[in-house]
Amino acid sequence: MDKDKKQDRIDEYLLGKGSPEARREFEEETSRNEELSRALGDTELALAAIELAEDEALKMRLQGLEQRLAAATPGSTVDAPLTAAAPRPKAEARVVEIRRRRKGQFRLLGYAAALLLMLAVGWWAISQPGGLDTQQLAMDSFAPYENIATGTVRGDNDDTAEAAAFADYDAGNYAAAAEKFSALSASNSFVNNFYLGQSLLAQQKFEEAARVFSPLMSTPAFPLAEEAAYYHALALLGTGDAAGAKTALAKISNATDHEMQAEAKALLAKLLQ
Amino acid sequence: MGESINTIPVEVKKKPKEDAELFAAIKAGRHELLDELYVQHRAAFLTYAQRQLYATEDDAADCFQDAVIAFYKNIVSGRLTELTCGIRTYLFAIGKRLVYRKNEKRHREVPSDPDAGIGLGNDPANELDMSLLNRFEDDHRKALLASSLGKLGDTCRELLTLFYYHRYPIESIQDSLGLSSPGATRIKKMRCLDKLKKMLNPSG
Repeated sequence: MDKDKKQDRIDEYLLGKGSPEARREFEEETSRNEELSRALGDTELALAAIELAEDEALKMRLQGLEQRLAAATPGSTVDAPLTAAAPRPKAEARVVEIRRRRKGQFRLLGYAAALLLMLAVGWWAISQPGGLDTQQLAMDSFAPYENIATGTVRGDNDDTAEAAAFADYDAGNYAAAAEKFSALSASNSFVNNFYLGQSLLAQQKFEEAARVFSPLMSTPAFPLAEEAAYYHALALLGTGDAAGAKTALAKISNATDHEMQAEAKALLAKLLQ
Repeated sequence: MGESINTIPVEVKKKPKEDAELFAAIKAGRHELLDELYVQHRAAFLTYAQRQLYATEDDAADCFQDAVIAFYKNIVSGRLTELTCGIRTYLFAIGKRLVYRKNEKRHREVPSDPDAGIGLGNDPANELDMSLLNRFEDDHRKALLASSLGKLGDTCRELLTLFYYHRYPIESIQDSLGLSSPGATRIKKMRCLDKLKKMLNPSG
């Protein structure tokens, strides 16, 4: 067979052209003809190289575009009236980190605030008369859940009420965060309420926190439902309902693959001592 | 005033506004319009992915870029011949899958992909060959393969890319690259392909 014609047939086959019958016929011929089979394999490899190189080129083009869009709209998750600029030359389309998240310093403040809070609770508990101090135990086992709702994102120029609530949360200003989360509308209410519950727990407002966590833990579709169940148990413990907390913690401890199983087991062991 | 005799007859390609128009233009080979597509839907996807899927902004952008590329490849490969939903819906469906996959790898606290492994009703991503998405996984061999194309000359690289990736007809490639005839373009394509094959398989 003429080399050009052979290559045309291979191209047609690899580009998905031709009738099903013609394709089947080609496959049968390939299984019988070693030379054709080798030529097909070589072309497949060449096509893979072309595809990978162009995938990469397209990706770099879009990364360059993203870089310009993000630079033009810091805190860039809002619709902006931008148009696509000319593609950046390939050699320049390198991915660089656009901006670092400033959350790190807020998080440190948050940790410091949480630590102070725990120390204060510890001091208060030591000064109490004997017996099981459920509040102390609850707060000993509490660390504000990391803010995973806003990611690296709506950072710097996001002036929505939601962003302000999370900024306070990240900074460890739990009273202000709780107030802002409470005032938020129903949109994304599960996520916001989860962090409202966290902010309330951090202030030892156990009863309010329990009320907030209760509906969240019984909503399986909510991705933090298991975490909410654990924090609900902590809130119960804080209110002095040790029996209720034990039941809730035992349930978590016995559940398969529960996200908070280790924490629940540790706390339950302390309660049963 | 009369018409200027210096007017250069430049073909001004208008930007399609509607989904169907944009889809048709991309299908006809205007892959530069992917940038328009990206700009149009990027902010909405980033907001959606961060709020609903707990993606970071970087991950959301990365997945959206891959979604746009997958969308394009589905068009040129003939898997997606007509739009059965809005382009945004299509891109979001692909992007969502990619975010779930990325989240799974990072073991984030996320909702699991409700569509994974089940028959999907009206999900436009059904039309996707998911193996395309796997193409974006990195590995050393793929990097070597991709770099081999860059070692060909510019004309060979462009010719092969236009023919095999963007699926341009030979006549369009002849126009784009300023080659003398369709026959000359075919011969050039054969030579370029042979060169690439030898580079990838020197013993072949």
